[in-house]
Amino acid sequence: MLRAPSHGGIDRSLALALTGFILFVLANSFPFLTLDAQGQRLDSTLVSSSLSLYAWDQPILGTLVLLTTFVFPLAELLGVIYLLLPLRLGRRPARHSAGLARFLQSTQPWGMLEIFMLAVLVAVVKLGDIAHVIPGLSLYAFAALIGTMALLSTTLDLFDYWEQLPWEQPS
Amino acid sequence: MKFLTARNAGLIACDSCHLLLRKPVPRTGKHRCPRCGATLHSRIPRSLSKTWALLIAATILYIPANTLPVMSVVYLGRGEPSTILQGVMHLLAEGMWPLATIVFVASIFVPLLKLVVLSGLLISIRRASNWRTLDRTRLYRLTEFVGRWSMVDIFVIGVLTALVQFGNLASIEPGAGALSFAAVVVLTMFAAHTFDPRLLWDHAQHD
Repeated sequence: MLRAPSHGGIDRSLALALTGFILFVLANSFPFLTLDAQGQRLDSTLVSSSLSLYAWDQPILGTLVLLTTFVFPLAELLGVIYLLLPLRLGRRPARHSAGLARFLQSTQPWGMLEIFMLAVLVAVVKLGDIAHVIPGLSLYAFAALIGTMALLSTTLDLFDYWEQLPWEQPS
Repeated sequence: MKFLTARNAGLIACDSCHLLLRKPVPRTGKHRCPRCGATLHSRIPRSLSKTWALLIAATILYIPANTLPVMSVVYLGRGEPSTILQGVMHLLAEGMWPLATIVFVASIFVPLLKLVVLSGLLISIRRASNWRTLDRTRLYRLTEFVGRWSMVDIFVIGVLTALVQFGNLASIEPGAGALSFAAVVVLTMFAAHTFDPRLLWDHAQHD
């Protein structure tokens, strides 16, 4: 797909990244799902699905889930703010930010929150006959976060950032 | 007549920030993009051998990923292991056929599709094929786009093992196949990444 650099996208991308960051904090601060089986209640948070894999002696799987559902999405939100805020304020791009921008570009396919949401749906259906699953407050914040990040990925255009980066023609 | 490629025109585009530059004259050593610092290369170096290596590793791991149980439901001390396919069957038995379809496509069909399509593309480059280059490029983009969704089963295992922990009464634990399955997904994602679609166009001819 060909695309021309979109000016004015900075405001929208920055707003979405800030919104996403707030939702990310909310989604990680409250119970995600609660399981109710014969009076016994079990809470789980967003990161507990990777922590439980560590507990079951699967450190590689745990790390993979932690990276794709926590580290990379958070890095994307914070990274976009760090890259675009100076441009919005009319300043020069932040120092050493070119490496960060390249990191964000290469790790973008590894942020997998929307896939995690589908997994939650599958898990709830699988548990349907065993126990009662109660959606937690986090789940709603999480759903909103996925919408925000989807919008961010369509409006974010690092061209705006690359164009502001000073460089010299090599001799 | 051949297509005009940037390589033939003596130009090189940065893979990262898309700055278009005249090709640096010396052909040895690494060149860095003067704007963003990424390494410049008009084609990913040793793209074919890297992609083959990742694909072969993924193909081997595809077997344990599908034959070993990816998780087991332990109820009153008795474990009931289930493979990926049995997980899909379970969803079907529940009458959730839309969800069963999604999981089947994401976990069984897509990994296999990626292995077959990427191998086919590699062979077509080896044979200097100029057959339907645009369609082959589209096929590549499709496999690159859908590949991530295979991770869904790994996340299901994570969510279930985190939720179902009733001590000795009932628990769900990850199985031996889970690691192989995750490895297949990660390796094929890397394979799609090291594959350079520009190689498809190096033998393309105008009609």
